[in-house]
Amino acid sequence: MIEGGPLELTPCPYCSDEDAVNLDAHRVSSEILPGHYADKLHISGYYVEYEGFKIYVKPDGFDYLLMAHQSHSGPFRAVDGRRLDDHPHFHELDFFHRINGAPGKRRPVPPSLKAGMNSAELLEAFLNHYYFSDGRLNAIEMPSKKAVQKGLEEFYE
Amino acid sequence: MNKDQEALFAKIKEAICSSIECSSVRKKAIKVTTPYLDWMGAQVSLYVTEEGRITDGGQTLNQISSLRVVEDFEYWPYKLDYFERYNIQQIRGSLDLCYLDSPDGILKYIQGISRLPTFFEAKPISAIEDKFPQTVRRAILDTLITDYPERPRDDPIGWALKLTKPRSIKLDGITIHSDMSPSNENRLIQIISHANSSASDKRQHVASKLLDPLLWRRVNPQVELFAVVYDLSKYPNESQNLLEQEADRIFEMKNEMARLRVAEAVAEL
Repeated sequence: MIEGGPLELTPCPYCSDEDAVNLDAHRVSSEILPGHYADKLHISGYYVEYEGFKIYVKPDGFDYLLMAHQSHSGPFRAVDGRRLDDHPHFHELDFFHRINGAPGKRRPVPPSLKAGMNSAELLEAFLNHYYFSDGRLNAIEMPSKKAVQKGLEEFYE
Repeated sequence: MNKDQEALFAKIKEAICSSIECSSVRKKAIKVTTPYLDWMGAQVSLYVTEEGRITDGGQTLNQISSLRVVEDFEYWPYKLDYFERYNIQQIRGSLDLCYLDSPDGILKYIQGISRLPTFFEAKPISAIEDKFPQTVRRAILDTLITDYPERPRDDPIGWALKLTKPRSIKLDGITIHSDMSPSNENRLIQIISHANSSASDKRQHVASKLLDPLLWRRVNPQVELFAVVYDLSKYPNESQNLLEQEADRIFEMKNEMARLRVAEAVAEL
């Protein structure tokens, strides 16, 4: 369960890319994870100019448990065996297939992930795939575009 | 160094050097993935643009923004020292490498961008709360930084943050609160929220927001009250009348130009 009301994407305060959005961190409560994870878990998302939007779920003071990426640099193999190239995917720790004691990594690519999807669609697919609920009734929307006044670039130089 | 140490050193060196990867990404940039992990356990990456700029692609400041610690970062007293020490320069929303004179400078840069978010305690939204005041502050901050023509050339982000943070004014025995800190020190900006609450909660909220300016006007007749509301018609008639009577100006954020008008009210004397 995601606390603090429905998740909303916000325009990046510093970016000029049209699809640049962030997701403000929200606390997440979980009945599945042990207390030391569940009591301080949060979901958040940020934009990278060269890779797009990324979402992650992590406990405070420890590494991420889940991630979602809008793109992937180079080919990768999905959980179902498909070999994909630069495709939206999830990224989760695999506690059942450890490598030198540490959890391995799995990249699920469910049918809801489609090439070229926007950040709102990626977030929606992520919440549905991992059964996160934020009490939302409507679909997640991209924030309205910023009207950036032109001709003022020199102020930033 | 004995033979065992030498062999182990060679293995460590090979492991580190062979773990660096490079791949093509958007905008004809390349991504360099290092073997080191950042504050969230993901591999540290940096980007080399088509023009030869080494940058983080905006990820560090966007992480700081999404963790809701932008103000802590902007007012961090070590910010400039940290940038200097770790060879970082802030170009708009990106943290770029400053000097490429030595390999040491690149390593400092990688360590600097990967560690920066750990210095600020994340503030995740944790309970059902009225997000309207936060939404208004962010919208006005954004407008001041990107659209307001009179913004200063030097540190526009720090300037905008100062104007949009809440202000407390101490009078005899009481403290007056303003939801933003306009340049005009006789001006109070009150954000009227609770739009989804019950009618009685709305009445109570509006009355409480008007109390502070009324108290202040007793000692300072110059006080101006500017109210920011999403849609005035969503409030009980009694509250609407009270606001129209007491506020010098009312901005309804449902109107497209309201952001710019509020930004002007905050920035102008």
